[in-house]
Amino acid sequence: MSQDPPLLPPLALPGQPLAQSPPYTAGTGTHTQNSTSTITASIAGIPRAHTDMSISVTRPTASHPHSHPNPNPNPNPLLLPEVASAVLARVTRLNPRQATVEIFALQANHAGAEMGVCEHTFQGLIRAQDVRATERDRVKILDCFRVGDVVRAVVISLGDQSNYYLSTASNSLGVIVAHSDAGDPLHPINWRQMACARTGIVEERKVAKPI
Amino acid sequence: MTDRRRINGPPEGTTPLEFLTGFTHQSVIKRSPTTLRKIFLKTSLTPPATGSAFLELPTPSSPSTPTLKLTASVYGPRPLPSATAFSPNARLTAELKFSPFSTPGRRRGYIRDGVERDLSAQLSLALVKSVDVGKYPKSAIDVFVSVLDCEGGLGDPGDGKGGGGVEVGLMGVLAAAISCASAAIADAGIECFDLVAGGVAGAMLERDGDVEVGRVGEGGDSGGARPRGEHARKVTLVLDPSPAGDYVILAAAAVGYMAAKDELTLVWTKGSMSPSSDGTEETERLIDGAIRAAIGVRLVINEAIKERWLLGLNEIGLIKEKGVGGDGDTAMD
Amino acid sequence: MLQRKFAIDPGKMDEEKRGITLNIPQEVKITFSASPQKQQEKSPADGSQTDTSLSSSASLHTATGTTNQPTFNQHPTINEMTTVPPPPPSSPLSFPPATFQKLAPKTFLERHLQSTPATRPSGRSSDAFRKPSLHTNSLSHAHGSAVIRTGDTAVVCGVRGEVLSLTAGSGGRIVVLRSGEDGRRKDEEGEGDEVRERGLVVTNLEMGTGCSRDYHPGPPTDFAQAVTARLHRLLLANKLIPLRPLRILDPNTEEVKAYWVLYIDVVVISLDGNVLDAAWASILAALHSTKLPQAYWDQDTEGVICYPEVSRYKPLEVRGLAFTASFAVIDLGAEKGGKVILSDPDEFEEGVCEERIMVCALEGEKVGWIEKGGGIGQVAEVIECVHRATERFRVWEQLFAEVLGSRG
Repeated sequence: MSQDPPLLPPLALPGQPLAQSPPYTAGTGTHTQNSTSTITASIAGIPRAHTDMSISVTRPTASHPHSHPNPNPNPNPLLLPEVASAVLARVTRLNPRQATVEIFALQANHAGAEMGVCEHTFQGLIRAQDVRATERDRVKILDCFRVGDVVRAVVISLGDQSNYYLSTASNSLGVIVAHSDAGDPLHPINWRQMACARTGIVEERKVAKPI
Repeated sequence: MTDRRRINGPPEGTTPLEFLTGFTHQSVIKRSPTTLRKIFLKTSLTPPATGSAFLELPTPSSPSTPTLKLTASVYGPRPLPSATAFSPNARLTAELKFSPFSTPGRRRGYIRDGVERDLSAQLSLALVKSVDVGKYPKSAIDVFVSVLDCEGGLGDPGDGKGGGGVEVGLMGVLAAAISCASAAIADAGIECFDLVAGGVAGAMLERDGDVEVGRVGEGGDSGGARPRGEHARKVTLVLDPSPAGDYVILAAAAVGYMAAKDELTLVWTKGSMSPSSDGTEETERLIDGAIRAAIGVRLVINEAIKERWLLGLNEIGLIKEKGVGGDGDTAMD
Repeated sequence: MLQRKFAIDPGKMDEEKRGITLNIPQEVKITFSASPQKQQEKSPADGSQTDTSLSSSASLHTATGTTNQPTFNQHPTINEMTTVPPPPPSSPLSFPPATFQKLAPKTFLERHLQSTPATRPSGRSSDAFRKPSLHTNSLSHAHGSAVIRTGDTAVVCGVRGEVLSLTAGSGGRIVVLRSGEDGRRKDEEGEGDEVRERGLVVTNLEMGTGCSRDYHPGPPTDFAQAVTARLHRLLLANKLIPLRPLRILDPNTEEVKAYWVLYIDVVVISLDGNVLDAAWASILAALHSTKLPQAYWDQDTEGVICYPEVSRYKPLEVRGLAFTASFAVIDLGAEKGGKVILSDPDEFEEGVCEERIMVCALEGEKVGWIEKGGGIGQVAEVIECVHRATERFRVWEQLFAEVLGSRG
């Protein structure tokens, strides 16, 4: 059933009605006003109608004329970690039962999303049972992470007031950048070892598979 | 009070200036009661912030015209401080601060006083219902408003404005702060149901008001007639009253109004409104006037956001110097 | 679950156990895939955006000598734990520049400076300052004011005068609060001391305005207090404010009965590094644009009265100009270019570099103040900074002449 495309303004402002709700659905950047069943813009941006009858409003890339290059080159960067989104985090504290990390980059879950740096870092937690998929109860955290490592993980829960809960239990997740005790960079050998180029020392980590 | 974290003046204290005669006031441009003053509003002037805006009211015709200047910067959604309890919604906080050189009369110190706390609380209340807090669990959205220059006084002693009546300076500051903060929130890309605009209206007593049948209306249409013999006053409804003006405001109302949803988020009235024969008509007229002022301000906010967008889109080559005619879909249905 | 196999190489297993690694690359390089291009500095006046020179991803490359594909297995057995040769260069870890900046900020900056031509992440060259802009007298209730923007750092300074009486009290009781001026030296030195001792100049910097994500309203942070102290010291040390215009006399006896106290408040609107230079310049501009009302001591009221007419306002006779220039120094290492001095560092560079130098230049190519700290350096570096500061002085001087000079 083909509908005439709705007459959308070139730029939508918050509170601006865009289309009626029964034929169309609210996509990102919009909400439905219940009283009038209208799809209304939630942010200032460019409205688009999609083939699946959803209306979305997106902010294109350069919305802020910075003197620095725009740090987030993708539209609608994820502002907050969501469940099932991938993150990059740096390990800040270790504990026999968990590793505390600082999340600094987010990637949304849908196809084509890119990694975007967050303006503010969030705190996350990787519990021992979420480090890997096998032998979950016999994990030694010190053999998986060290303070200062950068890990790629996935958000499994919004957690409590101060921490997001993350998991590295997958082949593509785990440590991606690490340094040895002497400060030299390590590179991966297998899923649980990394080696130093200069001295040849091998250290244990839960390593992510290089893509 | 010595603040040990700052450099304080001489311990004996200094006194503000006293002048020989009354302060020579600047002449106020005459305008009709329903005309709003021109507002200058620009967003994204504080790049480190997620969103920001700068408001100047009125756009000065000469460098010596007193104006209200304030900046708003918005940060968020960002993680809550660790001690805070879990919340499935974002927590919006607003803080308003006066700079030491912003008010006439006595220099304000840096210590937060009751006025700032009160205005900050009112500002949070006005904004919180417009933001879709459910979309950002466990996070904080912080709004900071800095007042750089108040047009007139704030009703502090020693301001030098006499003549009685209600002081509208504070209301003007709050209304402008609401508008500026909303523009900053939109600039930040935080999802909201609508933008809140602030507007002020006042019931103005004309100085040369003759003792005649009192009328409350706009520029001449009559409201309820009073019986003769009473000392009646000629009162006019004025939108966006200027605090530096030389007239007396008997009562004033400030509102935070969401134009697209036709909802009020804040109502503040001051002064005594004498009940006319129609009951609450005077209060209603004041609030309606303030709403009309807020609608006018909302159009300015829309224009400022559009202007910033066109600038951004031009830069990345998405559009090429096209005129913006024909997209006037900003009317609030 | 994916089933993957290790490449078993029994020959290498023993050596691995001994701790010697085989086929490990000699160095792990961090490279950028695209060559950087020349930048032009963006001035704050136009709204254009600079391109990043590193438009494509940064990647962590591991140079390798073998071609074995590494395999990962979730269920290893003891025999299979061997040294597997490192991944071939076709599978580098790639990050967009922004992520790389967060990941390894120092390396990010170093790579920028090692490229040819050496540029900083913002696109400036290492000796380029940001172009400043100045507006004065925009505040209605201040006796003097200035707004300065250098790049994304913006500050507003307001100067207000209030009266400090030497006596207090009303009616018959007079309390002498401070002694009048004694016969001390009336030259610049003595005057400067008096200005300081009486506390006639009160400098404050306010950063809790939401200017940057770390500065919330509240009591001033240690950094803000430190910058305030530096500004205050600089102002008094340069003796720019003369004592004479600050005196309020009794017109009949020509005695000094009161003083003007100048409250100088700097509010930071937006912060992107180097708040000191912008704040100092705004203080200077505000002082140069300050006009105080004409005041006299009235015996009848035992107080100071001012003439309200604007035409009787007198400018504050500020003695000359002085401008600060701040630098950050980063050490790339002896074989990679040695030390690089970055003029007018922005927020990111300030966070990475530990070594700082500040030079306050005066008129006539003189130097009023030098500060250096945070690292070990050669005297030649400080001299280089002095030269750059002198050049920067000329830029500021010209800007002041344009904006302030025309006002007479």
